[in-house]
Amino acid sequence: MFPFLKKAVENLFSRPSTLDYPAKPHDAKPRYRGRIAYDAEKCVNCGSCIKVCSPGAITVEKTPAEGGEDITYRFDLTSCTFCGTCEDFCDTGAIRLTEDYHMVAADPADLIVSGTHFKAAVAGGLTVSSNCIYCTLCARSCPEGAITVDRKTKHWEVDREKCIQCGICIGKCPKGALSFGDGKDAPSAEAPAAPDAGSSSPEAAPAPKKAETGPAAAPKKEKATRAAAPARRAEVPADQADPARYDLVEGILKSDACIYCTVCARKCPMEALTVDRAARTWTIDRETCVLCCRCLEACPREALSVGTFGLEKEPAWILPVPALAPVVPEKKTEETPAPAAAPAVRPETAKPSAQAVPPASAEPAPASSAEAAPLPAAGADGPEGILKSDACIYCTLCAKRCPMGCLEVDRAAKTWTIDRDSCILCGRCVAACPKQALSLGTVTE
Amino acid sequence: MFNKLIADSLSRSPWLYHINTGSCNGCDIELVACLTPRYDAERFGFKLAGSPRHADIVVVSGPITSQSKDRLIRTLEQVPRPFCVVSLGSCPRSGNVFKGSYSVEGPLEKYIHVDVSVAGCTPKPEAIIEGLYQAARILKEKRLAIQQERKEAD
Repeated sequence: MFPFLKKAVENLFSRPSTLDYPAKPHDAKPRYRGRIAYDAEKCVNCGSCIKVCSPGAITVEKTPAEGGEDITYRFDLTSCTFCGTCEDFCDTGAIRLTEDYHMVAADPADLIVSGTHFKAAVAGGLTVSSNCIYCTLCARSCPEGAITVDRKTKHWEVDREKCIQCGICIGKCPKGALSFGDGKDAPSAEAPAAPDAGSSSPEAAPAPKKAETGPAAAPKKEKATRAAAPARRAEVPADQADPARYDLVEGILKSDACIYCTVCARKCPMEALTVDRAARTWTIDRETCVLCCRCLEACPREALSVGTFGLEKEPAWILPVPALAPVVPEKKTEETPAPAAAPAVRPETAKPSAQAVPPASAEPAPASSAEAAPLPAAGADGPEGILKSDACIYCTLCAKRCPMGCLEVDRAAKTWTIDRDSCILCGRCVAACPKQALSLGTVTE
Repeated sequence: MFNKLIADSLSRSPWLYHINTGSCNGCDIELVACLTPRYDAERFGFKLAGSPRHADIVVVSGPITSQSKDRLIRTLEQVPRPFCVVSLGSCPRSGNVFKGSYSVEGPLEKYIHVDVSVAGCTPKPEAIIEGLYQAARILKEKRLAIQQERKEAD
């Protein structure tokens, strides 16, 4: 009786719990997913949002305009689930779900968010020169299936409607026969190579010395002459290199084939890459890079490779040379001389240095932590847990993905520890590991 | 003048009838949340009615499944004219993620004119109150228009 009276008296003097809503505006909680805001100027018409939209609320309409086409994206809010996936998948941040929830309208047309941007057509589109040998490589590499090649009748044809002008086929052509229009403003093999022959990979590698060193001029010249060919490998004669000057450090290198398309930067899970399309610069933060090689796989021009570059002294974060065999395309790893030959590679070479890639079995186990247990046999007794193999490169990606914060990785000390009591076995670390070094299994220790 | 008083009074107490046509229950919960003390839609006279024959505003949630289609049509026939239809969430307007399913017969617009659409998946109770408020206004206009017609006929 008494507690009830106390509460009753309390309530007499407390304010009503009812929101004074229509009289006073009431904001949604932070990160509420409401009305879609679409910035057409940022949109690049990649279509990712349409692909991921489960209710199919996003439509695109292309209307021909002078010198290109007008591209209109429509977001139907009466069809939207407000899941936010389009926002997540929008690389350019053109789509944003605002906290505005006032989506009430008598006319459903008021509940459609749309925006139009203009896309200029590349002059003439994709064209083929007489060098074509009708090998069909371009047709096979086309992501949109826009190219048809008939070897028998020697016929090459591109469907301009389907072609998205990504330039992948140009990089694949063994004869350099493909180009965009007049080849001036297109991301063809020739165009980017010439202007940045001296500034591409040297600039990327943090080796300030090579600008002054004598032999640096020679490879530059060589690159300039090679520019016409798809320059995937810029090789430097081994005898020109000075093995004593540099220590061996593994890293991602870029060749002149780069078209600065930013695909590598988008795929990088560590956000170590920055690519500026306008300024035609490609920079890598070697401290952050974990050599997961996703950029290599993503590059449409195969301009990236794993190689060695020089530093005056070994930095603290140098990694054990990881086993790259499953990641790097085979042709890049075919030459496998002894690691002793590795210092012969000059820092600015973009040559895919397979020298530094010993087979996984031969690789010494990295400074081990207590958890580096081999995978136990199936059916062994013990609790389930996350297990780590020797393939670990201590990149800390697993720790970053862990929702419970139970993983601790020290890059310098090369230790990997897990708090098994907090681990909920969600498996995100297993999925995040670029080296597939983690697995779910029975803990036998 | 007497008619106008009636229309005005009725617009201050519109009774709701809620039909779930295969909704996931999200919108239904939010509609009920509108009637809780926190949002208290009864301040504006909104009140859930137990029968479509008492309703002024029909609130439809769900993508209209084939099982519910006939029942929806039968229910709507029983609502006294004039009345307003409010679609709650994305489903009745478009089918949402269920569109294209063999058992979905939507959108609601195929069967009856939708007066107010409340978008969201699910809409916030504030947005629902806003939608109902708009529906009540539309209802008042409809009622006045009908009275006008009758007057002219006389």
